[in-house]
Amino acid sequence: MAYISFEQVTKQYKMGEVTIPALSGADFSVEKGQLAVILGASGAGKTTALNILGGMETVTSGAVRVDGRDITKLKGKQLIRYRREDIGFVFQFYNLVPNLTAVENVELAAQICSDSLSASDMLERVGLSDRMNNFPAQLSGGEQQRVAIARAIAKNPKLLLCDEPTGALDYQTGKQILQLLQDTCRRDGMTVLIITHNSAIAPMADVVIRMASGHVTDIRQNPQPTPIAEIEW
Amino acid sequence: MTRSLRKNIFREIRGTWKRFLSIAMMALLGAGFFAGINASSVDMQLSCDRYLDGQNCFDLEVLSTLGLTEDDVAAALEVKGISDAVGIYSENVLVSIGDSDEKVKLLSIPEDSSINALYLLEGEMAQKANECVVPQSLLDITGKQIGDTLSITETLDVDEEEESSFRYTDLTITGVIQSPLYVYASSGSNERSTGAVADFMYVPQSNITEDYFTELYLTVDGAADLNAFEEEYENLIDNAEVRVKAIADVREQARYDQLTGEANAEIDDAQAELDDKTAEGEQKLADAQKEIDDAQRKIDDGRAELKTSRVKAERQFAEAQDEIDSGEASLRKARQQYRTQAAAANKKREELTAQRKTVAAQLAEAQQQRPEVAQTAAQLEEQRTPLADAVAQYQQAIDALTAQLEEAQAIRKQLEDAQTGQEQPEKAQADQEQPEPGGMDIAELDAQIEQLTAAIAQTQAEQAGYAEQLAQLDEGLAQAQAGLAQIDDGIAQAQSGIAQIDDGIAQIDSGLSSGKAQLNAAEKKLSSAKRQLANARAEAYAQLRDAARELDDGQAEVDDGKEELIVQRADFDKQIADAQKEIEDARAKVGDINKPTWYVLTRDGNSGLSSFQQDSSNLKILGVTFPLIFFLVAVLISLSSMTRMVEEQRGLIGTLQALGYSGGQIAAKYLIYAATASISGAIIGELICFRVIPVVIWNIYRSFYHIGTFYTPFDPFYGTVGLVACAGCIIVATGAACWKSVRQTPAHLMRPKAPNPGKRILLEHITPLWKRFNFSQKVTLRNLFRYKKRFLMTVCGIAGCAALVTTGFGLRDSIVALLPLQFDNVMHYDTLAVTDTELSQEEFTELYDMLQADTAVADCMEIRAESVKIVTSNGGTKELNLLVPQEPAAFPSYISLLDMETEEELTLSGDEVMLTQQVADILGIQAGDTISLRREDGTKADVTVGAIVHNYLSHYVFLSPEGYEAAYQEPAESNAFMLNTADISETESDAFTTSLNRDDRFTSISSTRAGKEAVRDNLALLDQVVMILIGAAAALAIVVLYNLSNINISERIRELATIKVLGFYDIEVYQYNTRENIVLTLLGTVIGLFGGRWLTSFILKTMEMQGIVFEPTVAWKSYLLSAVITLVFATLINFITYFSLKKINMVEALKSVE
Repeated sequence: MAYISFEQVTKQYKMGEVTIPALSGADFSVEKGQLAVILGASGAGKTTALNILGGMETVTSGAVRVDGRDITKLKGKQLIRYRREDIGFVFQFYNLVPNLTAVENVELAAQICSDSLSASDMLERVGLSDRMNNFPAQLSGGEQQRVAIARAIAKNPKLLLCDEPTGALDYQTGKQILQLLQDTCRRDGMTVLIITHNSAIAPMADVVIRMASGHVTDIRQNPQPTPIAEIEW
Repeated sequence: MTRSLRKNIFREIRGTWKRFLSIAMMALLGAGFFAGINASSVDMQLSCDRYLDGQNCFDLEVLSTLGLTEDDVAAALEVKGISDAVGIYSENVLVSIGDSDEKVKLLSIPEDSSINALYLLEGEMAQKANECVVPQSLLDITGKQIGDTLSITETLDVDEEEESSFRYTDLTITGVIQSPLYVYASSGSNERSTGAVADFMYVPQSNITEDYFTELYLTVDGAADLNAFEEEYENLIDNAEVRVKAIADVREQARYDQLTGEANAEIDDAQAELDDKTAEGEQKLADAQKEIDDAQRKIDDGRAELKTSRVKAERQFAEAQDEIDSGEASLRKARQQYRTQAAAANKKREELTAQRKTVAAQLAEAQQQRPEVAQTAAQLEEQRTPLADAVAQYQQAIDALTAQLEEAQAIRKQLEDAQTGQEQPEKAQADQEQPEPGGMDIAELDAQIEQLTAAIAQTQAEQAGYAEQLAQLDEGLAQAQAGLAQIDDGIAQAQSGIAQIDDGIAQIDSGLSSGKAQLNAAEKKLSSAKRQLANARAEAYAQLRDAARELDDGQAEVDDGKEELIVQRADFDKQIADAQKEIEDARAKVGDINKPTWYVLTRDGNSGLSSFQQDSSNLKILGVTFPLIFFLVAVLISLSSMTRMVEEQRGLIGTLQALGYSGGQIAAKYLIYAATASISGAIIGELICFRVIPVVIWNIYRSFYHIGTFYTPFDPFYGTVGLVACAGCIIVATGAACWKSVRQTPAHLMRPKAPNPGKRILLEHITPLWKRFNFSQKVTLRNLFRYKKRFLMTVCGIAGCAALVTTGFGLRDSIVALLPLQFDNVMHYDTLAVTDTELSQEEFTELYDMLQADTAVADCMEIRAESVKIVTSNGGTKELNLLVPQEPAAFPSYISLLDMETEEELTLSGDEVMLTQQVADILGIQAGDTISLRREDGTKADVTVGAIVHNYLSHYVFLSPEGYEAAYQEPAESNAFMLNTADISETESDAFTTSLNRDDRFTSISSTRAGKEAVRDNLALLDQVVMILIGAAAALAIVVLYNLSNINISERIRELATIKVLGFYDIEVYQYNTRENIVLTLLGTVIGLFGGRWLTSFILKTMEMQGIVFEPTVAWKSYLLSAVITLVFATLINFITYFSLKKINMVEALKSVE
C-alpha cells in the first residue's frame, strides 16, 4: 500500500450560488521516501490537493490516506495534531514570522512537536549556521526559504509539502533550494511533495503527477531522477 | 472625484465594514456622550424653565419682617417692569402622621392670580375654605388619599394666644399638586437643610383669617420669554429687583406706622384695665389685713392675762414649797439624831451581841460538858445498883440472920423462960438454919445464937465493905450530881444571860425601829404634802398650758392668715407685675418694631430652584470631562485603524499615483472614508444620546425635582460642537495617517512593504534577563514594542475604561467617606435645637433644665447660632452659620475644630474666629486675614481669622462669646442648644426628636442623624452614576479591545495563518495573539486605576457642591473591583477574538504578501 494515496478525491467551493469544482476525482499515490512533483497549470487543482494533504482543507468526497490513515476522517484537534506532527510545510513566500530571528522561527515550529530536532542543527543543515540570529528582513529570499525549510524539517514530519518553493526565487537560488529538498529526501528518507507549474523541475522527481482541471492526467514513475545541477529551465 | 473612486470608497466600506463600524462607534460614543451629557444640563434647565413659565412662576419674592398688605401689593404693581403681583399667607403647621407630627408649610392659594400656579396631577383644585391640595409626598407619608381629611395644628408662638389663623383646620384633600415653589421634592425624611420643612400644602385664601400676607410674589415683564438659567434673564431680574428695593423704604414705613398705631392703642387699653384691677385688688388686700390685725390684738390680751395668773399660781406654790422645805429640814435633823442614836444603840447592840456570843460560847461549853458529867453520873448510878442490890441482899441476909437470931434468942428466952419462951428461937432458928424448932436446946441455941451472931457479924462486915463501896460510889455520884447541878445551874444562868442580852437587843431594836417608824411617818407626811403640791401645780400648769395652747392656736390661725395674705399679696403683685411687664413687653415690642425690613429675593432665594440650578450646572462639567476620554481614544483608534488601512493599501495608492491621481485625490478616499464613518457615527450617536442620556440622567434627578414634563429637544449647539469636534479629530488623524504614504513615490509604494522588520528590543541586550524568558514571552515582549501606536491606543483605552469605573466607585466612596469624616471627626453632636427668639431668659433656662433632666440627653450646651454674611475686602460674599458656644472649653465634645494645616484640635478663645475650609477656599481667605461678618440686622464687625478648620458640610464660622461681645458690642445671647443624646435606641431618639419638634418653644430641630440619612439617600443616586460610568467604560473597553484585536488579526493574518498551518492548537494561536493584549490590558488597568483616582479628585473638585467638601477617597475594594470589571470586559473581548482567530483561513498563508 502506498504511503500517500488520493482516492477519488473531489473538492468543491461554494461561492454563493455558484459551485466551483477544484478537484473532481483525483487519484494518485506516492511511496515513502519518494520525492514527488505535482505539475499543473494555475487552477488545475494542485494547490487544493496540497491543502487537503496538509490538513488545511477538507474534501467534499473521497479518501486521502497518509501512512495508512484516512486524514479526511480527522476532525478539529486531530487534524491540528496531524499538521503538527506529520506535516512540514514550505510556503512560496516563506511565511517567516518577521518578529522572530531565524533560529526563533525554527524553534517556533520545533517547540510544538514531540520529537522535534534541534533548531540550530537544522539551520546548520540548510547552511545558515552563521545567520541564525538574523531577522527575516535581514535575510535574502533564498536564505529565508532555507529557514522555512529548516522550520519544516525541524518538526521531523512524515511528509514535507512544498508549495512552489522556488516561485519567488531567482533561478540560481531556486536550484539551491531544490537541491536542499532533494538532499533532504535522499539523505533523511523524507517523503517530499513539491507543487509547481514549472515542468522543468519534473525530472528531479521520483514521481511526477500531472494535473489539469481537477483531474490527475498522468502519473509517471521516474526510476532515474536527474540531479538538480543538470536541470535547467 | 471620479466615479470609480467613489465606487472604490463604497466597496471599501462594504469590504471593511468592521473597521468602518469601529470608527463610527468611536465617533458615536465620543460625540454622543459629549452631546448627551451637555444636553442633559440644557434639557433639564429648559424643561424647568418651561415648567416655571407654564406655572407663571414668580421672578421676585418680597418678604417682610412684619408681613405685607394689600397696599404693598398695589405698590409693587406700580413698579416699572413688574407685570403682576400677588400676596399669599403661609405658616408652618403640624400634621399628625402616625404618632408623630410632621411640620408642613401651609400656603394660601390666591383668589385671582395665576402666579405660581399649581400643577394639578390628580383630582381637583381646592375651592372651598375647608379644602386643600397636597403634594404626592405628603400623601405618601400620611397614607391619606384624595377625599380624606387632613387635620392641621397651628404652631402658635409661645406668648401669643391669638385666634387661629385658619377658619378650618380639618381639611378635605381634593387633589394632588406640584408647586413651582417646591421643585425640590422632599422624600420622607430627606431634609436638605437644617430646620427645613418636610412638606407643604395649599389651602384657598378664604381659609385664612389673617389680614396680612407673609410673602409677595412678583413677575417681571418679559421674563417668561427668557430662559431662567441664562444670564439675560438674570440681568432683567436684577434690574427689576433694584426697582422693587427702591420702594421698600416707603412701604416699610407705612407698615410700621400702621402696626405701631394699632399696637399702641391696644396697649393703652390694657394699661387702663390693669390699673383698675390693681386698685380693686389693693382694697381687698387691705381689708384682709385689718381682720388679721384685730385677731392678733385679742390674742395678745389673752397672753397678758395668762401671764398674770401664772405668776400668782407660782407664788402660792412657792409658799407651799417653803413649808415642805422646812419640814424636810426638821426631818433631816431628826433623821440625823436618829442616826446618832442608832449608831450608839447599834454599838451597844454589838457589845451585847458580843456578850451574847461569849455567853453562848460558855453555854455551848457547859452544854458540851453536861453530857460527859451526866454520863459519869449515869455510870455511877449503874454501878451503884448492883452495889445497892448487894447491900440490900446482905441486909436481907442480916435481917434473915437477925430474925434467926432473934428467934433463936426468942426460943432461948422461951426456953429460958420455959425455960422463958421457946417459940421465938425456934422461929428464929427456923428462919435461920431451919433449926428444928423443938429440938434445940439453950446451948445449941446459944451456939446457934453465937453462930448467928458471928454470921451476922460476918455478913455485916461483908455488908459494910459493900456499904463502904456504895458510900464511896454515892459520894462520887453525889459529886457528879453536884457537878451536873452546877453545870445545869451555869447553863440556866447562861441561858438567862442570853435571854437578858436578847432582851437588851430586842429593847435596842425596838428602840431603833420605833425611831425609824417615827421618821418614816414624818417622811410620809412630808411626801404626801409634796405630792399634793405637785398635783396642785400640775393641775395649775395644765390649765395654764391649755390656755396658752388656745392662744397659740389662735396665733397660728392669725399667722396663716398673715402668710396667706403675703402670698396673695405676692401673687397679686406678680400678676400685676406680669401684666405690667406684658404691657411693658408689648410696649417694648412696639418699640422694637424697628420698622420692618423688606427682603427682595430672586429665584436664587428659593432653595429648590437654586439647588436645581447648581445640580444642572454641575452636569456641564461632566459634559466636558467625560467626552474628553472618549475623544482621546477615538482619535487613537481612528489613527491606528486608518494607518493600518493606508498601509494595507499602499500598493493601491502606488497604482493610483502611477495612474496619475493626485495625492489629494487619493487621500480624499481615506478622508471621505473616515469622514463618512465618523460623521454618520456621530450623527447616530447624537440622535441616540440626545434622547437617551438626558433621560437617563433625568431619571436620577427626577426623584429629587418635580418640574413636570421633561423635554429632550435636539440641541444644535452641542450637536454641532460634538459632531465637529469628534469627526474633526478623526479626520485629522486620518489625514495624518495618509500623509506619509501619499507623499511617497509610486514605485516605492508598489513594492511590497518590507514587513515591519523584527528588531531587537532593549531588553534583549540584558542577556541574563532575556534568557530567563521563555519563547512565547520573548515573542510577546517584541510584539509589544513593535507596534507603538497600538500600544498607546490599547493602554489609553483600557486605562480610560478602568479610570471611568474607578471614578464611579471613587465618587461613591468619597461620598460614603464624608459620613465618618464629618460626623466622626468634626460634628459629634446629635441635635441642634434652635429656640424661639422671643423666649425670655427664664424660659430659656427652663428649657435648659428640661433638656438636662431628660434621660435622652447625655449633655447639652447653650449656644448662639445665627446666620451671618461674610464680606471680603474684594467684595466676595457668602452666607454662613455663626456658632458661638457658651463654654468653648466643652465645645470639642460637640464639634471638633481641627486646624487645616496642623491637624491639631483647637479651642475657641479671644477675638479670633475660626472659619471652615470650603468658604475660606472659595473666598481665598487665610488664617490671619481680616474678614467682615454682617449679621442679619445689618450690623457689621471686622474680625481676624484665627484658623481655618476642617468641615465637610455647610459653612461655619466659630467665635467665642467674648469675641462676639467684642465684635458686636453686645453679649452673645444663647438661642439654641447643642445636644449629645444618651445611648438610646433609634426609636427613643425619634421620640425625643418628635417631642422637641412638637415643642413650640423650639423653632427648628436638626439632628445629625437626619443629615447622615440624607447622605445615605444620595448613595442610591450615586449607584446609578456608577452604573452609567461602568456602562460607558464597558462601551469604551469593548470598542478599544475589539478594534485592537481586529487590527491585530488583520495585520498579522499571514503570520497567524502560518502558525496554524504549523499545527498550533486554537488555544495556542489565541495565546500567541492575546498574550500581548493581556499585558497591555494589565498595564492599562493599572494606569487607569491611578487615572481614576485623579479623575475622582478632579470631578469632586469641580463638582464641589455648595456647602459640601469631598475628600477624594477610593477604597481598596473599589480599586480591586474596578480592575476586575475592566479585566472582565477585556476577557470578554478576548473571548470574541478567540472565535475570530478560529475562523482564520489557513489558505491565507499561501497568498502573496499583497
